Amino acid sequence: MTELGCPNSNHITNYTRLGSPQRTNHSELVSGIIRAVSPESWLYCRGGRVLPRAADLDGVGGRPPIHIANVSWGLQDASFYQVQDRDWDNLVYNEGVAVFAIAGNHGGSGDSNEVDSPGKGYNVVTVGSFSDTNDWYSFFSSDKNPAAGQTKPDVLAPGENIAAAGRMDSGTSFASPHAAGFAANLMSEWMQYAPATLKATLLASSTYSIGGVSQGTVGAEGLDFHNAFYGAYFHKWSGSNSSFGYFAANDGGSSWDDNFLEAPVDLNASMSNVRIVFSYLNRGSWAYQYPGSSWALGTSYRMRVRNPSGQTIAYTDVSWENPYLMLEIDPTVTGTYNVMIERVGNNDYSANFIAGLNVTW
Amino acid sequence: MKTLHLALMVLFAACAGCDDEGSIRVLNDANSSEEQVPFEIVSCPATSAYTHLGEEEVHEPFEVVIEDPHQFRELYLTIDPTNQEEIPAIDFSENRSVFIYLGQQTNTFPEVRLDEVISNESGITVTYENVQPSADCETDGALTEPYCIISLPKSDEPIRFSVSTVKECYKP
Repeated sequence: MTELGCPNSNHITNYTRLGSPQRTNHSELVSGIIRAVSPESWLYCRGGRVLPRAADLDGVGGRPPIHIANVSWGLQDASFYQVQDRDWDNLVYNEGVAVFAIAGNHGGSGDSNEVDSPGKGYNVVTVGSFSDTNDWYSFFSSDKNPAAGQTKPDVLAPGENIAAAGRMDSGTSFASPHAAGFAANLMSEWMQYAPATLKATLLASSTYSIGGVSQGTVGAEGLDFHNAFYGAYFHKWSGSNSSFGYFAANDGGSSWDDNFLEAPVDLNASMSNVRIVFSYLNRGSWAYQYPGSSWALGTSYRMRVRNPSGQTIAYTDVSWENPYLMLEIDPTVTGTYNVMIERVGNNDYSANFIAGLNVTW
Repeated sequence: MKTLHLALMVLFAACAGCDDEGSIRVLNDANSSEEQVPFEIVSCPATSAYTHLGEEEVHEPFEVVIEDPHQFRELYLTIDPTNQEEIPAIDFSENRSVFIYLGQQTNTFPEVRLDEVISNESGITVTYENVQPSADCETDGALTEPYCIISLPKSDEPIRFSVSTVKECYKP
């Protein structure tokens, strides 16, 4: 985690404060939430609201390496993709660190209701807030699409009257560490998740119904721990830009579908609301050159699903705005369904192909 | 012509009282005598520990003069209900209290910064700054309800408020 100042080292277990000033109120509640959600994770904090240093990433003092970063602060009233968005996107892309950032607390404030930076990041998982008292979207939680047209926040987590570490407060600052802590638990089970597959998993499994959500402005709904842990199928790809073609040509099927990634998934006719998410990473440095443009995504894809008879039963539009694709299907027959992903835009030839797929039912 | 002079004088006086953010400060007459009023800051937390989202929400900003201990206690507990500190003790037989509340804020940065309390023949003016983050500031994502309570000697003089909004970033 990175905060303005960090928690007292005596107040948090399994925690290393990385040479930063101590500041208790905000950071102790944030760290207390992470500790409560993920009791066995090791927590680092660097003050000054900064990126982790290169030397931090592999772990400090023989402690575990950093896989997840929580950012419970943001830059408000910034319409376009900012330096913060670029830098944290690059951290995800270059270092494989999954980043969770706040949506911001500008809900209901009209034009300024856009998510904060770095929550505008394409690779960043942006977390909005709901009340776990009434399962209703928090009035303060930002939910307006950024100027780039992204659907944000990505997921929702509890953020109202959150008590931990002897403190209680409200805000998206306290929703984000719920998601980050949960991700730590997921990655403890499946290290392969980080970070594109992790995002696909969170988007696919966040089906917990939340009232008051503005349709079309929130990527998914409430985190659902049970959904994410059980009943999911996942797949990951990682390679150079050209590796997409290699993966597509060598994953079975006929020569006709050599342009498609294919992921066979066994589904049962008794299942319903099967959610399929394909997520990929985008270079922050590329996106920063094209703020507010569909060019901000260096590569674009579309996805279709075929039933066991080979008929296409669902398909998406091209991922012009979000670095992920999402479908929901209700299987009508039991058998092996084929999830097929086609790359339709490849403007950023320097971008590696780093992607994940999750199917949750 | 006389009317025009008067109008220009009024405009000049109004602009001299403005600052960057459009202060509502009322200037005193040049011949009036001003004096500082001694005051004590009772509590001015930059953040409150709890944001109440129940039915009886008090989120709109206000400035209020309190002369009664029961009214003070009620207001204090409404604004900061889970504060573990003792309710501030103010001797209302000799003092009165001023309660400035900024309303609900979207981050931990805003605060009430008391400048001065001035008395002149038109009454007492409490001057304070409403400190807000600049647009280029990174701020924490916690809701807060900053307030400031001061006490000053009891009197019958009316109290008015002069507030200016100051935008800055946190400096460690």
